[in-house]
Amino acid sequence: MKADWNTVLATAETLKEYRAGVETRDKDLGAFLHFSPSVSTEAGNPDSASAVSRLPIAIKDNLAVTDFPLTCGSRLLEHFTSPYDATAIERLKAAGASIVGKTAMDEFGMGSATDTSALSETKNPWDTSRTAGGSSGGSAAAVAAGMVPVSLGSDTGGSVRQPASFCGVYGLKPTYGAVSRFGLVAYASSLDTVGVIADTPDRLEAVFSVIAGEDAKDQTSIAAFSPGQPPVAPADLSSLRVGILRADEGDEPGVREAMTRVEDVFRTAGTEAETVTLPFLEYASAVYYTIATAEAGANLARFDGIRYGERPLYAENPDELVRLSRSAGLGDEVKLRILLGTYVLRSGFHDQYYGRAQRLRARIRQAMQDLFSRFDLLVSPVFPTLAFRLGRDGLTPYQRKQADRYTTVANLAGVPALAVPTGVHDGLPAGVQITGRMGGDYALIAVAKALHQALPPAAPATYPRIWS
Amino acid sequence: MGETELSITAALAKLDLSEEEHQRFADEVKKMLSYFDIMAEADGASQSSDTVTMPMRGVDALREDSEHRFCDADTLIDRGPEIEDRYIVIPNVL
Repeated sequence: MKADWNTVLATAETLKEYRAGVETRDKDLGAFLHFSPSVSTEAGNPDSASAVSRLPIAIKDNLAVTDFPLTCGSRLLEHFTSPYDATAIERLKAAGASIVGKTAMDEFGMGSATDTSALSETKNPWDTSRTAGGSSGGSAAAVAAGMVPVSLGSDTGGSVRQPASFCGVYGLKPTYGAVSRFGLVAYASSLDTVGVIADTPDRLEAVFSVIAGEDAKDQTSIAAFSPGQPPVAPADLSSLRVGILRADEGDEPGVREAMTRVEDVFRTAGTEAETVTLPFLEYASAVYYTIATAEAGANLARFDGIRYGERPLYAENPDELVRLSRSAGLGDEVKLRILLGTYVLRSGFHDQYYGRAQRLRARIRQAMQDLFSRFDLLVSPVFPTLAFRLGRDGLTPYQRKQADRYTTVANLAGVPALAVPTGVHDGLPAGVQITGRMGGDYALIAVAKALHQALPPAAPATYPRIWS
Repeated sequence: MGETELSITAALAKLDLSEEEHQRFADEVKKMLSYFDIMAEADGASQSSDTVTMPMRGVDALREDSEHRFCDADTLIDRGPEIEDRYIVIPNVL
């Protein structure tokens, strides 16, 4: 009989057991950068969703939690602790949830395998020679290995959905603005979202309904989501109109099989499904990397050894202090993206890159709007491969960037998208992405619930569930 | 992007690049920029379109110009690397 997640932090004794269980599991995985659970007797505000009360939750290390580290996976912020809570964290705590630790990530969210992290590379709980994905790899692995039932991540171009899919769990990138970004360390502000990774759609929904909603501290947060939204029922698949964006010829067999499996579920349910193409999809990654690096170049200017970050012991002048701090503290991928972003914004090159990217972003958004006037849902692959190998046998950084085409579209258009596990292929989890219209986050969760019933996901054999 | 362009860009980004880094980043930046160049193919279709800087339309992203008192100054000061009374010790500035 498995113990309930809401009881693992109930007493000193259960806490001890929980801590030992997680520490043993994480030794081989490297999901946590910081783990310090404490006994939680706080039932929380009775008006908030009780489903999250006393629930242990892990947080990606770019979201501020009072007195916890906030490293963003960077050497530059290795010794930085946060003096305040992000709005999402504040709301979770108010609802009685307990933050147990901070999870590993690609440095500042820039990567697809947590291997650009200066502090910990996360292994996949299904096969430790493979990546957990990224950039929220630690958050996804922590859920997949049964160390927490839910975690928060951030998704700028797929950073919640891709690792969730690589690890066989659910990952939601909400509508842009649905969750306040206050307390999320900015990477690309017009694309950044705070997302949820969970073992079940029910739990994902419970946490999302707590953190979503307008916030005076984030002017881009939207009022469409009110706190305390009651749980939605699983969607009636027979009443849906679904657009299917087929996997490319070159995508891995496991990715194509996952698509087929979901199409079979729709066929059995009598869903109206039709193959679609997405205009401008072939430009999505280029548009994304142009805009994201441009915004990153500006956002990361604050990491200068003065406002934030480690600084050298000696510098001749302030300018040298800034250059030395950044050059020593930032990793290669971050430097590359800052260089690209600075270049595409330089006068003389602006129209060639940034201007074009913005116009194409408008076209991509329009194409999504047109699509959702005909369909309720778009089903597509998440990534062209399943979890790839760590090290030299994996994808090159350049291949990974091109592979972001399926996920970046949702960030560019601002619409919600959810990674759903659909089964296992050759020992690795496979899944699909469902994308919905602006503000349709709960409709997506309802579809995820229906798919959960049809295709219940498994846990990795080496990490059977201790708690449920 | 040529060698000089990379040096100018690095200086603007306040990054010092070693010779080895310079070589490596020159290759990688060049590769990414030529990837970005595929966007030009869509000029015909996108020339007349709007530009999008934010995903939502018509949002007034400006805060109301009103005063809010920040009451947490001590929490922040206490976190300074080196404190004397309520002063933060900083490196010598020449």
